[in-house]
Amino acid sequence: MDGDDLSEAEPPTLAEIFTEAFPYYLSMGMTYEEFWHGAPSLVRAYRKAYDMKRYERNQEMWMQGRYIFEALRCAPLLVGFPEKGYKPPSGAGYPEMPYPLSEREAQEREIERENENTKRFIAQLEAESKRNLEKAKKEAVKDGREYD
Amino acid sequence: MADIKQVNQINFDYNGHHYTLEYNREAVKRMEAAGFKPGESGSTPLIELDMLWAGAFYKNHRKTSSKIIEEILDKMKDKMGLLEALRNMMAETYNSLMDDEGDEGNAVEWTATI
Repeated sequence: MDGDDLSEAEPPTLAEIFTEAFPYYLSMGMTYEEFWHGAPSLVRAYRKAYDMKRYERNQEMWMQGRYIFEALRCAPLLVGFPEKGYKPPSGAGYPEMPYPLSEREAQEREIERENENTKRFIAQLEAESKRNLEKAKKEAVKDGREYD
Repeated sequence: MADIKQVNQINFDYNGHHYTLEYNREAVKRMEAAGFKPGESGSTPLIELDMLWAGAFYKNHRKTSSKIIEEILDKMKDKMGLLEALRNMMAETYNSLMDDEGDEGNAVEWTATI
């Protein structure tokens, strides 16, 4: 009977378990020396590093797909039968910079963008103030007044 | 004389030599080939201790003679504590392959009731 076979089956030895697991760790880049002669706990670090690598690769692939999508979205090719002179809607252009990879990078970019806006605003104020000054000077000259 | 620094290493000095006992998978493989069966209920703790003790020399002190190995074991204090530490070290060679830190969030807690 199948049940009898199971009860009589010898459990695998540790050596057999190690031998079976060995190719898996080889695929992660672990060497023969490290697996058989190194510290047993080293496999944990390899598994963690492997997970990190897979996560990174997944992120990269997703990002690449998103860039391709953005590039295609900018092209009239995907619009079906675009009318003559078709232009993609505003904001649909290919991103000027790579997407931020982290929340921190996104925040830094936001701060940078705000700083740029502030600088532009100050420059506008200065230009306007200069224009007003010039205008006041011209009016003063025209009215025969002295301008301080 | 002996002090257990961590679960996977035993350090002590004997006759002017420093010994660091630990296992690697090669040592466990060799121990099994020599007849050691971890967790087997048939063997007495003393036989188990002898085999675990000798196997723990393989990684860092494989040239130590069996006479010296036995001599040191005879002089070790707290043999039951030593056996427990060696069992833990042996289990680490296997547990390190099996445990999965990634599933900690979904792990089911359990308690034993007598």
